[in-house]
Formats: sequence, structure tokens, C-alpha cells
Amino acid sequence: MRFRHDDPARVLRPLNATAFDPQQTGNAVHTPILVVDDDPDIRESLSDMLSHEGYAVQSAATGNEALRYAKQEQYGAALLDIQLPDLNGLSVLKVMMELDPSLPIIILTGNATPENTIGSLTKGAFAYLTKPYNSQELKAILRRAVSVKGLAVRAEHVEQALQASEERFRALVESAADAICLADQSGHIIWWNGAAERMFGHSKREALGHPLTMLMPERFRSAHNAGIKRLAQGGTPKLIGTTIEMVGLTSTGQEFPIELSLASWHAKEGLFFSGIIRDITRRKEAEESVVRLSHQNALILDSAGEGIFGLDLQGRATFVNATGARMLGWNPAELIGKAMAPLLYRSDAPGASHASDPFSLDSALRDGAIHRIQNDSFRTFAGAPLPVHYTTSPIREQDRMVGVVVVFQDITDHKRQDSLQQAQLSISHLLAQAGTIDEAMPQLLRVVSEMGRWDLGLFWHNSMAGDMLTCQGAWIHPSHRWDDFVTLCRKSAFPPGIDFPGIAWSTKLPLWIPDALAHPQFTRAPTASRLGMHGACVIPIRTGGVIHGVLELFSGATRPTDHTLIQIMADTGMKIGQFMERTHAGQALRASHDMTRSLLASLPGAILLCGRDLRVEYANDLAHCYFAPNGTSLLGHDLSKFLALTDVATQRLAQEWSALSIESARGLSERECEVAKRVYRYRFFPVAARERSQYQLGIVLWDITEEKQLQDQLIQAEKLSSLGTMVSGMAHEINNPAQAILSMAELIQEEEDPGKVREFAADIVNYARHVSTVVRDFASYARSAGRDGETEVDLAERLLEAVKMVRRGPHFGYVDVVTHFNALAFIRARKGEIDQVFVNLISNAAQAMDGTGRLILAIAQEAEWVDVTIADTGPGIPATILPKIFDPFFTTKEPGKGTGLGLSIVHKIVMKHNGTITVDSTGREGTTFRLRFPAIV
Amino acid sequence: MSEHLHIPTRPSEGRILVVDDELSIRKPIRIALLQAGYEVVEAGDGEAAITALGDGDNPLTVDAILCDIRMPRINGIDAIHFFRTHFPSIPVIVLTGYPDCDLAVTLMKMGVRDYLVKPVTKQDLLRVLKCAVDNHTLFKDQFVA
Repeated sequence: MRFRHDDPARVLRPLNATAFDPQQTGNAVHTPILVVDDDPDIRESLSDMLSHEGYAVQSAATGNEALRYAKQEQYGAALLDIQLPDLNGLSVLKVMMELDPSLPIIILTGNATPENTIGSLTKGAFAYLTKPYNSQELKAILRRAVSVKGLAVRAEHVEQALQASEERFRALVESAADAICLADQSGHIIWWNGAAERMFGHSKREALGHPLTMLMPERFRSAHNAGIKRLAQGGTPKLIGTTIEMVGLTSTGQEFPIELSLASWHAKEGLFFSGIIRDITRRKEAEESVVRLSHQNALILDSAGEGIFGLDLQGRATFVNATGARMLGWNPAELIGKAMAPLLYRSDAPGASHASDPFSLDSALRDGAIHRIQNDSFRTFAGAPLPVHYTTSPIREQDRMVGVVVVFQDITDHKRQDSLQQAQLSISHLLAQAGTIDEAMPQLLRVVSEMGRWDLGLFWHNSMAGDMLTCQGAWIHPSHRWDDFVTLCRKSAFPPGIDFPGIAWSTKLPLWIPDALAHPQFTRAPTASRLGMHGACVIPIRTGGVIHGVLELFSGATRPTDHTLIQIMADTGMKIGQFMERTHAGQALRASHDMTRSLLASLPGAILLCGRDLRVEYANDLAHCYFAPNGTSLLGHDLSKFLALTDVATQRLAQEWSALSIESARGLSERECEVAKRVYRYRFFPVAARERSQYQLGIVLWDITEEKQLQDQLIQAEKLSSLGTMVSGMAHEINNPAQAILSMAELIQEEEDPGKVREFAADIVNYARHVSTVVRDFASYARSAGRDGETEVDLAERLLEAVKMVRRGPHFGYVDVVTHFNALAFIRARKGEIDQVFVNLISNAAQAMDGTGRLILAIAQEAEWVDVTIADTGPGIPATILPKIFDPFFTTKEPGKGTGLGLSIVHKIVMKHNGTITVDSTGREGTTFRLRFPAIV
Repeated sequence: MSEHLHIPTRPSEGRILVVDDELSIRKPIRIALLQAGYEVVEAGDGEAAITALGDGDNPLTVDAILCDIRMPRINGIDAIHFFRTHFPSIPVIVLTGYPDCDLAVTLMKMGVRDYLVKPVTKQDLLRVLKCAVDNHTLFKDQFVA
């Protein structure tokens, strides 16, 4: 925890300048020798020899070369040949001596002359040898020379060192950041540097000669004085050579922390002390903040929500924070040094299976990366599973991994939140998918029960009358045998305020009962007690103030109040309530929709709904069956196209359509059309939409092909029947002229008067013509029996024709015919069918009047309609039978006299032509039939 | 009334009332009956026939009535009913263009002597009428005598 710093004592060590010390090295390994000779053989042999002796040899062949070397380096000795090719050996000697005065130079020469010898020696050569030299002698001389040089060098260096040391000492001491103070044996200051001045506020003058005690607070002084005295008396120094922390005192009396390194030395004057003093206020502060910080870190570690532990390279715990230890159920101290993986992944606990292997704990150690592991499970001290997320990060010290920090989070709450969320989600899903509450309830009860870890879920439904809650559903956890209780509930019904469901009903609030058995209003307690039921929760299923039902949940354990769960359960209750409200409305709607659907589907008619563009928007099965037999869809098809409507009909439809309203549609008559050889009767109707302008056009069609065929047969049969009647009338009509013709012819046979004969013959011609007219009329009536195509029919003409026809029949007698034809009226129809209508009605009228009376025929046109009135002055139709007259086979005639089909066929034919027929009969003023046909526009 | 009475040129074989609304029927029958020696009284409908027979205190006596059925105003059936009620001795022969079995039976029950369907030949007509007139003459002779 302490900052590293240089030992201040080093400053006082002797300066290390020793570059050359033969005594220290012994065999002179490092002593360099310069060999100068122009003879390479001599240079080589000398080098070999000297190297062998342990010298470092530098050879030079010329004087210049030798001088260059001498300038570059200091040598222990030099061997110099004075007969050199370039320079005079003695000059070389002289220069070398100038370069290094203490260098011993040994002269080697082949020819020893006294001049050379003396000259060289006077010039300072150390010795003079002649070649061939004695190597022993050479070595001895050289050794001596080197020693001389060594001495000289040492003397020189000591002197230099002292000088430098003194200088450096002073400079250092003066300029040092640390305060330096020297004191004598009595503890008086003898040296005081600038830093000390600055640090203590005492100038050199103020400090020198004063006792050291001035530098320390009063409380330290006696101990200091005692120490000084002990040292002076030769006692063992306690503090000398150490560095201590103590408190300094400035000139202004302020205390500050200092670090003091003490040394002492003996000089002839006696004992001296040196002290190097540092102001460590900053460091102290830093240290304190470090302590504070580390304390804080510990706090953070311990108070963090996460568990934190460190692992060394072997996976052993190096530290564990308090939270982590608590979460794991261990004492922190016990965990230190234990291998964590086997502890946290114990397999002895029940259900010991893990999302990841134990090695993921120190996975950071293996690859140096940070690992996040989700949804794992540790084991606590007690062996219980602890769901966790954790992160492992490597701890590095100077790029070396030394361990792992594992930070783990107890995710029990997360898990619970997750599962609650999950449960709520599945409740929403269930409700979204279910059609009815009964459908959803079994699943719903299970999910709700599991969500709150309940063992029994009951659904109490509010009865139709809304005065009683009855149990409509139950879910029991498979591990419980609580069927008796469910049976009891199914037999029970609770009004508001009674038992838990009743309470939740009347309060409209969720009810949490830690132990149901202790609740005074629990009427089912005996059974619940026998089965060991305790905790309970009751949730109203409601929307606003309306209670649709109640969810009641039981647990085998007592359940402390869980506000979160209550809130969620209450929300669930609301959710189910909304669903129930929705499904009530939905069910009604669906029922109505289903009914409409099944009605539409089962109608014997084809139903089509179109928009204004006459494109089909809906078609029921039968419509598809009729018009799209090969399985294609009618949707989007143009109605007029596949109904094969004529342009006129389509146009008229569009007109009617634009004027269509619910009211006016009632007047729309049925029409017929033929598609693919099938005959359909159809009728339009408006389908109300929200907006009046968005009516859909409905069309309902009936396949009347068979009916049509039958009807045609009936019309034909009735035609024949009335034809039969008329034929008998026709007999009269024909027999009369026949009688006349016969008689006249017989007269002619016997007549002699030519004038008479001609007269009779003329009569005969007339009667014969009459017969042919009668026959032609009847033939045309018989021919027009319904199979002719539609043409434009003149109604006035057909009425008169019908009168003529009936007049010849048996009943017409002498009825007066009055006509009021106010318009030329044409309709599109089959002539034969219109004839049949008129003949039937006129014939009925004639019969009713029994030959005497007035037949009134009227035609008028009103807008697009043609009205035809056929009225008689007969006795009228009794009111009792009036409603039945159009029924088939209804007749007032004697048996065998009428088919009973006449008027029903009239009705059918009129309908077929998109007309209407009504009848007025007062019983006294005769009978009036009013027919209305669409006119040809 | 006198224009309806046609008297033959030779002595009368008897008097016959012909009731028919069609002149075209009455005319050739009248000619034929006159040629055969009958007096002919004609009536255009039932009403005229009844009037002719019941006219005043001196009703017209006829030996036979030849009567159509379908006629305006009073039709043949009603007229015959009158004849048979008020003049039961006068034979009534129906001459109709409307062959109806039921009607024939009804009329026969009312005492109609014969039922002829148009067209009928002069021969047949005269045979039936002669027989009827002769019967009536015989009856009249017995009754008067």
C-alpha cells in the first residue's frame, strides 16, 4: 500500500568511477596493452603471448595508427618499436607521453644504440628492451609497468572522485526536493538545505546551530532527546538506517506529516546524523483516500445487489462479497480458498441439472474474455437451487491473468416476473382464441392457478338471474386429492356476502386469505380442514361494477399476502370479465348471425346481395348452386350478366334501385327470367345498411322450372277444360248456320223459281261464312294455349276478342257490354295467356249474371302501369269465400261443372307477367276484377 | 202479331209455333212448313212466344211448338216450363244447336215430346212435327168431342 520510492540513503554512497583497478581484477583481464611494431610476425607473437597472459591487446603497425589508438583509449601499457616506417619512434613516444603522462611505454628495438636508449629514456620511456627479447623479462617489465600505471590511475581517480563527490553532494543536497539536515552529536543542526528551508519555514541562519527538536512538536521532543543521549553514550541506534514517519513542525507552528530517513556516521569530530525529510502530506492524503476508497469498494462490493466472488487460476475463491455469501447461504470466510464450481454445481441436491457445465464459472480464465451466462442455477449451502444470471470477467495484473471475478444475480424474482408475464400472456391468448367462457375456463383455471402457484382453482359463475354464484369449473393440481371439496362446491351456491365468493362479489374487490381455516366466514371449512387447505385468494371477474363471476384459488400452504400477485390476479379478473361481457354480446350477435346464416343457407331460394354497381357481394349456397355450378365464386360478378337480364330490364332495375327504399321495395313485384334453360322467379329487396345511401340490393330467386312446367300443363288443361265448355257453346254457334244451310239447300232442291233459288243460295253462302269465322276464332284460341312467345299485346283487342269468344259460349246470353277504353294499352305478354285470363274472367262474369246484366270493361294507363277492369252486375262473391277464389281447385260450381283452376290460373298468368290482380265484391253490386300490368315503356 | 202468322195456301194441316232468335233458322223452317201445309206462327224469343200464346181472352191455339233453348230474355227452358204448365196438351219439340245430354233429360222430364239437335233435315223435322200435330189433333178431337 505504500508508494515505492528511491532510498534517500543512496545519495550518500561514494560515486562509482572505478574504470581501472588491476588489483581488484587480479590477472589484469581488462588491462589493455598497445603493441606498436611494423613487423607483423612480432605483432602476432606479442599479441599471442600477452593475450595468453590475460591482457587485452591492441596492435598498431605504424606510428600514426598507434597515436590514433592512444588518443581514443587509455592503455595500461604500450610496447613501442622505435623503428617505424612512417614516424620516428621517439616522436611517437613523445606524443604518446603528452597524451597520457602516466602511460608506461616500453621501447622495443632491434638495434640498441646508446643514443636511442638514452634518448628514449630521457624522453620518458618506462623501459628499453632489445630484440630478440626475453619473454620472461618482457612479462616482468610489463607487469611492473601495468602496476605503476594502475597506481597512477587510482591516485588520479580518488582525487577526481572526492572532488566530484563533494560537488555533487552539495548540488544534490542543495537542489534536492527533500529537505536534508545534518546534525552533530548533540543534536544541533549543522547543515540545512533549501528544501528544508521551504519545508519548515526556517532559513539556514535560523536553523544552523539550533537543536533538531525545533523541527518537531513538543510531544516528540523528550523521546528524541532520550534517543540522542542514548546514541551519544554508545547505545544501539534504534532508528538509524531506517525510514520513519513522524510529524514535523513548521516555523509557524503547523504540524505536518513527514517521512524521515536517518543515517549517522563517525568522523574525527565525533558522531554526525543526517536526516532526509519528505513532506508526505500529499501522500498521506492519497493514502487516506486510498483507504477510504478501498473501504468504499468493500462497501460497494458488500452492498451491491449482486453476489461477487473472485476465483484464482485454480478456481478457488479469493474473495466473496457479503451479498454473494448471503445469497449462497455461506459464511464469507468459509468460502475463501474453496473451489467454487463443485460447491455451486453440487449434484447431491434434488433436481440437480444445469443449463451449463461447471466450467463456465471460470470460462473467462480459459479464453480471457467476458462471459455472460443466463438462466443458470447455483446451489446454496442448503442445497436449494438458486436461479442466476452471472458474468465472469478475467482479472489481469500487468497483462497476466490472475483470476476471474464472477458477478451473479439472483433471478428468482426475474423468473417469477417472467412466469407471471408468461401466464398473463397465455391468459390473453386463451381469451382471444376462445369463443365462450365455458370453452376457455378449464385452461384458464389451470394457467391462473399455476401462475399464482395455487393448488386448486374454482370458477364461480353468476347465474342468469344474477342472484347466485355457482361453481362452473375447477382445476386441481395433480398432486392433490381435493375432489371432495370440488364436489362440495359444485353443490353449493352463494348469494352476495356469503363465503369467500360472496364476499368478493359484494365488495367487488380481491380477497387474500393467508389461511382460510382461520377465516370465520369460510362455510366450507370442515372439508377444507380435512383436506389440509390453507391459503386462499378470491378474485372478482368484473367489468366496471358488474360481477360476472368469481375466481377462487386455494393452496395447501398458508400464503402470506402477496400484493404483486393480488394485483395481477385482479387484472386477470378484469380481463376475464371483459371477455365475458364481450362474449355475451358476441354470443347474441353470433347466434343471430348463425341464425341468419342458416336461414339463408336453408332457404329454398337463392339469395344474392349486390352493391349499387350490381356486383355480387354475397351469394348463398343455393345461388352458387344455381349460377356457379362448377365451384367458381359469384362474388364480384355482374348480376345482370349471369341473370341474363335484357338491357331494358337492367336499366329498369338500375332506375328502381336508385329510388329503392325499404318502403318502396314492398311494392316490387316478382319477375321471371330464364338462365341456362331453367326458369327463375326473382324478387328484389333492399338490404338496410347503416347509411341510407348504402343499401345493398338483395335478390331472392326461386327455381320455378318444374312449377313452370306444371303451371303450363295446368294452364293448358284449364284451357282445354274451358275450351270444352266453349266447344259445346260453339256447337250451337255452328249448328245454327248448319241448320240454316241445310234447310236452304233442301229448299233449293225443290224450288223452281230461279229468283228464290238465288236468294237461298246467297243465304247459304252467308251462313257458311259465319261458320268459318266461328271456327277460325276458336281455332286461334285453341292454338294460343300458352306456348307462343311474348309479343306486344293490345289489351283492348284481346278484351273484345274474349267477349266475342265468351258470347258464343253457353252462358253469355244477352249481357250488355260496356267498354271504357281510355288508352291504347300494350303489354309484353303471350297472347294466348292474356286471352285465357280475359276469357276466364268474362266467362265467369257472364255466368254470374246468368245471361242478363252489364259487363263493364275498362282500360286505363297510369304511369308505367296498365290497369284493366272487368266488372259485372251479378250477385257478387260472398265475403266468406272471397279470400279463396284464387286457390287452385276452389269452385262454387256443381261437381263436374268447373275445374276450380280458372281463377288460380288467371292469378298465375298475371303474376307471371309481373302484374297484379285484386278483386272487389260487395255481394250486391257485382264483382270487379282489377288487373295491373307493367306497360311497355 | 199478324206478321208472325203464316197461313198455307191449301187447307191447313195444323198450326205450329216456331220459337227461335235466329231469323236464319226460322226462315227456311217457315218455308218448309208452309209448303207442307202447316200454318206457322213465329216468335223471336221466349217472351214473344208466351205473349203470343197467352194473348187476351182468345188465346192462339197451336198444334205444336218448335222451340230453341238459347234465347235472349226468357230462354227456351223457361218458356217450355210456361208452355207445359199452361198448355200441357200442346206438344213441345226442342230444336237446339247445343247438344247437352243432361239438358235433354231435364226437358224430357218436363214433358217435351222430342229433342232435335241442329242441323236437322226437312224430312226429319216434318216427320216429328206431323206426328206431334196428329197426336194433338187426335187429343183435341177427343177432348172437344
